[in-house]
Amino acid sequence: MPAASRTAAALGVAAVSIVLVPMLVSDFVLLQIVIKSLWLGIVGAGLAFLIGQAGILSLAQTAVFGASGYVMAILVLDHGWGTWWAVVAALAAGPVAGLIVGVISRRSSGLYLMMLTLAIGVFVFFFAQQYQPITRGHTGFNGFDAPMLFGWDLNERRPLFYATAVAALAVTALLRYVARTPAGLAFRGLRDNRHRLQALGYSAETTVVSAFVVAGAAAGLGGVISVWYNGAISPGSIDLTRTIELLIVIVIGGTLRFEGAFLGALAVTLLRNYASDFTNRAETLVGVAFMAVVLLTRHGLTGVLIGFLSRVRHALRLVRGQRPAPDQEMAGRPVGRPGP
Amino acid sequence: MRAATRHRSKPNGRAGTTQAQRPSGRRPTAEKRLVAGAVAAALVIYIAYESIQIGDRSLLVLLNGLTAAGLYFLLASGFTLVFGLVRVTNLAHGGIYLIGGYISLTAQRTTGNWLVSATAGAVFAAALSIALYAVLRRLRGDGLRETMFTLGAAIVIADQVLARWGGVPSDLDPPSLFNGSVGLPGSDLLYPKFRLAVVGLAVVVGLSLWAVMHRTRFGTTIRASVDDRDMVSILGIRVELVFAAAFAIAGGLAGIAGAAGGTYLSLAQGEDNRVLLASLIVVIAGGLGSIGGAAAAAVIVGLVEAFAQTHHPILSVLMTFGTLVAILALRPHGLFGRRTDARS
Amino acid sequence: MRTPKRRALGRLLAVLTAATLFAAGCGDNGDSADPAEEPAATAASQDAAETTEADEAPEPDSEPEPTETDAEGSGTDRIVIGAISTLDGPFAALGDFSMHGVKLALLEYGGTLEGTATRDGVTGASVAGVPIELVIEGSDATPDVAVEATRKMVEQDGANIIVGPLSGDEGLALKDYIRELPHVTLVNGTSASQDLTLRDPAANVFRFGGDGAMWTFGVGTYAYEELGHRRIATVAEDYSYPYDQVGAVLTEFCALGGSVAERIWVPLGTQDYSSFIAQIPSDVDAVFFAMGGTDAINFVKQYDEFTGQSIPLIAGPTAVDQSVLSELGSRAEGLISSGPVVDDAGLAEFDAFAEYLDSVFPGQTPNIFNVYYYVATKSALQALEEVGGDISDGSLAFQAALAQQSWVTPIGPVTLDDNRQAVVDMYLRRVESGAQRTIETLPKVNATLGFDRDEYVVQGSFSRENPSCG
Repeated sequence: MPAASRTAAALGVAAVSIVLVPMLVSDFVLLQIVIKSLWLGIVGAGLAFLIGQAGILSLAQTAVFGASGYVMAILVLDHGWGTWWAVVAALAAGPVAGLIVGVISRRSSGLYLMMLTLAIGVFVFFFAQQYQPITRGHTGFNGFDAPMLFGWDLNERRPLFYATAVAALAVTALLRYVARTPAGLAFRGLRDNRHRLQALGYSAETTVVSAFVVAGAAAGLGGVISVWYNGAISPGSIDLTRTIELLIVIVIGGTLRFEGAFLGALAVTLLRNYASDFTNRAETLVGVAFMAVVLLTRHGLTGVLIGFLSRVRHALRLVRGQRPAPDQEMAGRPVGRPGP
Repeated sequence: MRAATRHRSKPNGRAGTTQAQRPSGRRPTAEKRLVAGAVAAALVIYIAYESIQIGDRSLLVLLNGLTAAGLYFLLASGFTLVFGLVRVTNLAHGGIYLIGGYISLTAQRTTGNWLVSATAGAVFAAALSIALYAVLRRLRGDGLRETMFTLGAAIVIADQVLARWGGVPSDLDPPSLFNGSVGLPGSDLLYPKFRLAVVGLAVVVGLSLWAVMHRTRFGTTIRASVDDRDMVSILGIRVELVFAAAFAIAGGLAGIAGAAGGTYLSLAQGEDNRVLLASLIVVIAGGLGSIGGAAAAAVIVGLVEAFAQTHHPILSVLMTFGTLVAILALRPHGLFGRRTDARS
Repeated sequence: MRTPKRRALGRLLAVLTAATLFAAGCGDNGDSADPAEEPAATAASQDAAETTEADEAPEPDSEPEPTETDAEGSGTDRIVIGAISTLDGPFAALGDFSMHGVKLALLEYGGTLEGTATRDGVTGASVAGVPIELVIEGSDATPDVAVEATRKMVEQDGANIIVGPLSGDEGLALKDYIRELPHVTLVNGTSASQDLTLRDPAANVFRFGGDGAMWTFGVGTYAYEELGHRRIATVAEDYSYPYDQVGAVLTEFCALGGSVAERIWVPLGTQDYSSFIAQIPSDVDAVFFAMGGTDAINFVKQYDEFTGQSIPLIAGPTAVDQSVLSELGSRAEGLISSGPVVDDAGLAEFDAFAEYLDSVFPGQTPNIFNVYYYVATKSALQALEEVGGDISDGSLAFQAALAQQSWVTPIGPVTLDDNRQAVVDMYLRRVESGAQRTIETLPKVNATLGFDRDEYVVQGSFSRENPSCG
């Protein structure tokens, strides 16, 4: 199948899903599982892109996400901005916050960068909690009303679902587009060999910062939707627990494909909502499941899924008596990552 | 991620990158001295400034900072040792601290002896740490997955502590030798003896670590493994045992820290994350893998924290992180760090 | 380049399909998965799943749960009580205490315990022949999680009455959520935020206990008049609940002519108070401290070690609550505070409660959490009894009956004001031999601490600087 028709098929399936999902699930599941997974997945997709494409493990993604949500809440509730102007500002705040994190950590890499961004993330949390003149401190912002969009009230679940689903598609498209540009190539260069990238005349530091900006854009969008979803934002929305939860999303989803973040988000959301129905030690269950995924899979659920699908496809071709196409033979291996 | 790639392509190819890092890896001593001097000078100026602001209770605040530094060092030295040697960022370190503290608590309620209890806590924490390493070995070479695995372990440990000891905060009684407080010259306030003991404990641990590292064959092996573990293993030394020992030391120190922290602070749900964060900050500021750096950073972070809490209580937390960012702006790999991360 | 691209698209497709399937799966499987676990919960979730699905299909615009839910049958065939407290995170112990209270109330109505764990429910309870089911959810004290947990109980498990939450900001978030669902009733647990009921109250939110300021009532006056203090310092955690406590103390203390030398706000997450203790001026008459749980233990211990308690302490209500008193040990002896629970109230109801608590949950003693959750649950059950267990009118009669509740709780008589906020007795108390002894009963404390309502509300919420105190 040519790429164009594949894209069309994928979009078709997405469209069908968007129409079908609200009919198939209850309002509760639509909001608390589907919409939550989608916005968590949007934030996660940005981080998965950062990790999978640029090899940057940032723990400041929650802070970037929070910056955007806080900007919107502050502008609307404290400065009386119109909601859509505030949305624009919040969407800009994501990449800007990403830029700042990127500039601070541009010279680090690897686990060191991870810890540095963790420190930044915790700084932002404490700032939100302590600096009351701007952030209202520990209580944060309550009672935020989502705006109207084309006559639809985003406080209601179906409109919010449609908006979130479109946002998720938009983020997917954006990240896929970026991955194909020269910048995307530079990101992978950074991931694979920073020194070689520099030898080719790229600035590693600029590349790091750009990657943070891209991830920040996704976080910004997720931040806006999360405030619509929660109707509130407080330091509790961006604390260490939330940072760890986002990491769990990424690891369960896998970073081979940033789209895996949506799968990871769904798994985490389901666990968070239903694990306590089965056990009194839900946290232990989450932790053990997490360790199992880390131990047993290299690329999370996405890796498992991809491996499974490629095996199915392989089997189908054999059944049809076709010779396996060359690309199918590679299917089990990570894609987009050059070999030795 | 990079480790994963490289590991796949060159299973035993540490040598290339190590060589590339050599020049910055072996810093001239003059530079180290310069850094140490500059840091010490800045710290002294800061303390002098704050002391003038605070007045007669400056000595007290200074001691508070040193106590905090002592606890941070106990935590950070093991953390940084493991990182330098095994390249694992052990996010379960806070959980091990907490469980070490709780084991000590249980032991103290049985035996009544602080030292015995702390030892029990340390031994248990060391054993847990070794067990963690035994599983981590399966993931060798993939820094991200190793780190994530320790995160899962941290979640499980925290929940199991909750299940076993409940959520009611609790604390250990100090040993009778260090029970009570002493008067401070020139101040109306007292100082608890046990806190002074914590400072002493940290100094003893620091000196012992130094002696082990520089005066024993075991220490030589560890230092050699940090520099080039492939070479060490070629020499017929079983690197896994060295690594396991590093985990045991780190776990044991975290367990002792748990007993100490559980005595002068308290044990409760959530403490694991607090101390993990504190040790991360200290380790980053000091430079990953550098025990000396951990000591220096522990003192800096402890003192800045104590004085900031006294002078700007509301924004004190931000001051601590501000210090970290300032250090990293000047030295991206921490005070005494090498570019170790490039290999992880 | 083409190969990875094509495969990736296929993958996106696969992920989306999987997401659809998963999401659909949990909508449908909600009831097929449950029978595997506990039979008691099965009926609840089945019904819930049926109602939500039935509601949602014909309705494109999503009113979360329309009032018609119960109107279909005559009367009510069952009532679900959802209890929420902090079962995870640093406040998990308090969550245990809270659930003890909820379960005790249900046991009085013919229930039996399913098990000893916190999340084990109570089966077999009924009011006026209508079976009562209990669902339990936990939060980690953050508003976002509290709302999600409550939404699950209301929309998935079909909870008609919510008992909880534990902390102030959770309460404010739940008020915003519950307000939109007039047929659901929130009976507060221990959320002590003033604005749960004081400003902008919601018609279906009830509080049968005090708020942070009410709990601290009387101690400022006592410090000024009886103890003769004229100048105090305060040390408190830096968020709204301690602002209310410090605010209440200073409102009284300063109105009498006292002054505050220093208000020290400690960032949440601090373990080591030594450098905050160093800021307490040496010439104040007393130090008022307001904090909870671990923080209280750390502070009192360190204050004792650093000062030998040379300046007397006055405690906030939860800092010396019975839930932490035993861990505070001898250092807490003699501490003065105000609060809702004393161990020698002399009420038959209190003694009966204490005995009952110990018999069901051996070793437990009354504290603010188990008492408050008990009072909340029992108030709801009594009101249900008065309406014959019938909430088929969208809970209107039930809510009216609840607002009229007036009974003697284990900690004294309670009635509600027009904002559905309790008017209750508080106690000035002193810690003696590890228990809270009454100094004086402060009868009928109301939400405005006896001040004129309009004047009091206009002052605005208490904060770091409010009240200014001259």
